[in-house]
Amino acid sequence: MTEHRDRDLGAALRGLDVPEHRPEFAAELERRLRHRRIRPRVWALAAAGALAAIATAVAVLAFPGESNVASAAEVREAVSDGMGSAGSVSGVFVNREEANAENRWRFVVDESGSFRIEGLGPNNPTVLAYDSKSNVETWSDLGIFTRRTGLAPGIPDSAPASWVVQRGLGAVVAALLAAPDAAVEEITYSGRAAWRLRAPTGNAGEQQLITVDRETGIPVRDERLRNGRFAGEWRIDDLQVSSAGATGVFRLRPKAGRQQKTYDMGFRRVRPAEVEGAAGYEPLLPTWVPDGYRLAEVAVASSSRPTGSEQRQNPESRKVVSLRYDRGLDQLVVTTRRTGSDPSRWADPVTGSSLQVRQPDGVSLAGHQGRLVIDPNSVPHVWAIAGPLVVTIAGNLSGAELRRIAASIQR
Amino acid sequence: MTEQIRPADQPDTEEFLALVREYDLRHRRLAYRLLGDRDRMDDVLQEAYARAFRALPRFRGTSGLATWLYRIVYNTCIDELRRSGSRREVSLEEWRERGGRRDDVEQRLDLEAALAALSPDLRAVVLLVDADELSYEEAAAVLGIPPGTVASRLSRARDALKGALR
Repeated sequence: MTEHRDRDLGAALRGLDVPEHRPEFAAELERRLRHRRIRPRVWALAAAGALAAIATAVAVLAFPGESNVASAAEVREAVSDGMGSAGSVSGVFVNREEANAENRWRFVVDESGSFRIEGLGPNNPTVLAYDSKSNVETWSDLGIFTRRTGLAPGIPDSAPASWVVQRGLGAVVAALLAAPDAAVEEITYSGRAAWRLRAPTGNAGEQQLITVDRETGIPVRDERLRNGRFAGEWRIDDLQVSSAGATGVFRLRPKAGRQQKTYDMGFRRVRPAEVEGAAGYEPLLPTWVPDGYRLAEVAVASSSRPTGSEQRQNPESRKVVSLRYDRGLDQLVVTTRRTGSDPSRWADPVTGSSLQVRQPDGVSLAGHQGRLVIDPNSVPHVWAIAGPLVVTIAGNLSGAELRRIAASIQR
Repeated sequence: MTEQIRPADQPDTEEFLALVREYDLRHRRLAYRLLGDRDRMDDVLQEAYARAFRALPRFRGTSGLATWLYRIVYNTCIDELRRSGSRREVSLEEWRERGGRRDDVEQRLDLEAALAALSPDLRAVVLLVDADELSYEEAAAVLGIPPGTVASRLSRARDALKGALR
């Protein structure tokens, strides 16, 4: 293609006024970048990444025919960094099952854990909001106003129900972890560079096509194919990612005359030093978590709803200690609870026993044998019966990271 | 485009800020002409630079670092236009009124007005190729379009701006 440059026009365009930045611009930017730099994992990667970039550029020049497409592991790393560094993510969450019509929700989720999800369209009146500061979830649907207080910090207990993070973004991370050899291709999605991964879901004849925005590392589409035909999808339209937290209304107020229901899920936030007094036992705690994760919430419940699936419930949870560690939108949750008189009654608290998951691997936890579950149908997790306690560790982490956390657990 | 910039061996805030300073005038030109407002330009560039800083570990060297940074700036501008719902063209008259002055630099004002009347897609391509002297290939990488589309958009943009240069 012959390239032509209009030099007169170029000179005229360069002669147009361009405003200087506001006086405080440079200081604001420096503050913002330095704030990010306190995350050592990202910076270790930055150094390695920059070196790798030079090496890659050299390799591309030297071996122009060689493929430069990212591996599934690199995409998973990019997603982990994207989720870990995002201050807030917003957009329109779209869900569709086979030939059914789309359901659409406008959403915003925030690194503090607050979120708001609002149904779009006349047949989708649901509005759900969670205010992490007050630990109150409010939900308005079909004329009923529901308020849940005393929520757990995270799974497997009654935690705030962020569909976007738990069923969307988190599920994709789980799928990526479960399919380390997934085929990756580089595509353009909604005008932006993206990776697309193809991986089996674990169900017969089913495949998953996961699309990840390359710039932000945020998964934007998860499409399922059954026997090669479209079986369902979720996707995010109008994706917005900001390094700052979200501002917005995270607590709904009921309209006058509307039927109201309030549920207390039983968890109370405590300081770490108060855990033993509140739970009545010395808690098991991890002494190692991956870089960047910070303890965000500690809560105790004297009793809470049974864990597990509807088909196979565990005994009522008693004396539950739940710790949540945050890294951007990513969460890691460690829980302990009393087994009660018959430990053999317990099945996996995260999935129950009915959900078909891949055969768990063995893992060592505080001198006991635990199970490591990495499966596209579940949040990656470890669970174990450790003497009188049931322990769970759950989060969007690799098997190696979960093993290391489990190995570090001690009183 | 010059390709002096490479990720540093030990990237840190100072080195990233130095990279930003080297290309900042071009980024301001693009962002200001797309957004039409200094405060929005500053807000968008803050966001774009923060995104780039976070994403640097994932830079894979398939394009030059400067092109990659340019693309992030452009995408952030487009995100802002979509978010604010202001992806509309500004009429010549509106732009003149917004400028609020007619002085002896008639040609410059005419060019500003004609540029503002273009769609953001056309504005971006002419700024990248003619003002910042990117190759078609580099401009295509920034805009996420094929080089052939760069050529056709460029032709339309130049035609629209021609009158302002007479």
